[in-house]
Amino acid sequence: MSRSPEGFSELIRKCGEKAFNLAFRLSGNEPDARDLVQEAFVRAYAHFETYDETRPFETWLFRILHNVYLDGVRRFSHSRTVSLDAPAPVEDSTWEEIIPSDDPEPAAGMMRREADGLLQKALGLIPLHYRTAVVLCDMEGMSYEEIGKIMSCPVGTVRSRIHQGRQLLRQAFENLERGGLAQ
Amino acid sequence: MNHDEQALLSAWIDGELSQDERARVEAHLPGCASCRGDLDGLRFVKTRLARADRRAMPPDLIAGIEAAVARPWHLRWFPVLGRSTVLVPAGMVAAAGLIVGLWLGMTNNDPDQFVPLEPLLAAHARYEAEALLPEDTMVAARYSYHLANADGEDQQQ
Repeated sequence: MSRSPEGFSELIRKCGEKAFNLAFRLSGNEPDARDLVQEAFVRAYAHFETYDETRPFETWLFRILHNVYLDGVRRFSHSRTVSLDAPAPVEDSTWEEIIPSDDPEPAAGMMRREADGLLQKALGLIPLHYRTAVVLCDMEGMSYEEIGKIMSCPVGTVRSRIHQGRQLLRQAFENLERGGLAQ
Repeated sequence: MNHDEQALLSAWIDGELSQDERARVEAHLPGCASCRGDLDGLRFVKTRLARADRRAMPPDLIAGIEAAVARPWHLRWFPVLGRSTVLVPAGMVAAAGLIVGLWLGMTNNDPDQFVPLEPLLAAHARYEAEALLPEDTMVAARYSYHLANADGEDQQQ
């Protein structure tokens, strides 16, 4: 693996998808996720000589991304999303009519988007360390050992963060489903 | 009823327990309805996250990152340097002017620029009035001249 821009492009294409998904789930919106991923890759490229090539690049990249997020947690923690229940900018219209959709089944797509919005809202309600641990485990399928390396903590801490994170998420889902997405 | 096993339930679902811990949880579960209830809740959350839509990386972001890493280091860390064709050159001219000004200020050795004359003259007048020394031993008002003469006198002695 080389540090040349060409060699690095291969890594961007290989790991970018997972990095973007993680960044989106941590920050909760696309503009911040874009900034996070770009900054993580630029830092990785600048410090490539410190990367241990015997370990997965993805784990190293995620560790950088997590640190970038912690460094700028105030900058990245604000939400730039708009609730679909908020008033639409055009009179007598809804957001669903304004936002173009290529979904062949609009009703199913809407339900999926609503479920995803609920999930993201629940993730946003739990503390960052729990959110990161649960997302890495349940969405990215990483082992406790890998998560410990990314979050710079022992496996025992990862175990407890995942367990408590899931319990908090369960409560958050219950509260949100009881109260509705609008609150 | 011992509920220490409750804290192990997530790791049990994930297959992250040691053999002993796994055996403990599996022996505990059949007799504990509370832990079985918790287990359902934890599995529900795990399944919901695992089935969530994945966010696709925008294609223009890949191109943006490739362009960012291909930039020279000073533009990677200070992107503002590459953004303006007017402000950046103007800033560079101002910085150069400041450096030249500081350099000129530091290399100007004219003692009149640095030695405050007023207190020196006052001290000289006081010395002249109080010392009661002969006229020819009086030092000049200029500090540098005084030092030069003092050196000369030391050497003569």
